[in-house]
Amino acid sequence: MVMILSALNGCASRPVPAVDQRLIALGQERGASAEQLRRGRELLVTACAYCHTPVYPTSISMERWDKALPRMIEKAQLHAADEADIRAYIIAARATEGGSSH
Amino acid sequence: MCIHQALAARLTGTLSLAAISAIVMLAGPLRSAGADDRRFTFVEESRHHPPAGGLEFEQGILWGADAKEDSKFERLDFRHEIEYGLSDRIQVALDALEWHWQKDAQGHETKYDASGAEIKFRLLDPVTDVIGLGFKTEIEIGRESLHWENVFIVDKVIDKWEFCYNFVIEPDWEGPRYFKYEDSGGELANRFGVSYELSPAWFVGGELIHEIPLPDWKSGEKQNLFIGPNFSYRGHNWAITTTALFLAMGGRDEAQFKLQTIFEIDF
Repeated sequence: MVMILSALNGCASRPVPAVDQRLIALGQERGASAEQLRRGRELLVTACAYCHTPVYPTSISMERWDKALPRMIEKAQLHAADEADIRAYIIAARATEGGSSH
Repeated sequence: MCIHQALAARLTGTLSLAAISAIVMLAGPLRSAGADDRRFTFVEESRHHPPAGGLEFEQGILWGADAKEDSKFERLDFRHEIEYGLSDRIQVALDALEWHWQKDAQGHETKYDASGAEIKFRLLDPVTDVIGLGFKTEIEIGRESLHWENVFIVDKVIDKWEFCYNFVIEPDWEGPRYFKYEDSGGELANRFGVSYELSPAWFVGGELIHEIPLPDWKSGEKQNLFIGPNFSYRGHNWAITTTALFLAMGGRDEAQFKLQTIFEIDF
């Protein structure tokens, strides 16, 4: 049982960053509100998680996010405003780790 | 009343209780929940269905080969199904056409088998709730057989892993004359599935099927145990899932090897 749990834990995905003061500040510098960032993260860990584990913001390039997001928004039957919130969160989260927003 | 009739009566009671429970739970406030593509082909998942108002076409192909009592045995089963999301947690489906091609020592044939309809409920969500619970019931009516499959689903998604269990009760009625079903029997089955998410598009895992045939609701036929790997790939509005099963133990008339592929397209 310990071995199984260890294996499961070893294969676990990295949790996406929380919306803390630093992330909010970096988001606001890029024109996003705190509420928008919280909503973006919430959508990433709920709507996206129905089909797959949430993708960590820096685990793929922003170019890949730009390609994947519109397709996933359509598949999950979300709206343009949802896409904007998720994108704002991803850009701010990438900035906390020095990632590019482009 | 013999023990098998008592078992059948108890199963019917269980089904009625499950149906009432489903209606009571679904009558409560609905919480928004998502939809998902398959990770398994033999095992049913509570969250696999189109979104509310969404349509999905499923094309299933099952290839079975090499029975112990007939090495020439080969069979292809085709299923064409249209699924519709009535709500976030109720799906209905029309099994438009089931037919097969079979080759054995006597020759080969292509034959229409049945058409059917199904309804599936998700009572608890495997992602957001402690455990996922679902129920599916399906009736297939053919010229020489009538099958009623009932599947109780328990599943859970833990991060990249999904664990799924089905308990299946399948009464059936058969007869040699068109729509005159004279013999009744059934089958119980346990189905297990484990799947791991390699990426948002790729999933790998395995399935295990334990079948308990009950002809005339009497035990006596050899039970079958199949086990094997599976994979699933998801495209933009389509997905493909394949499972290869090997017969670990079972009857001499069972295929030693089964390969099932299900192709899904969302509209």
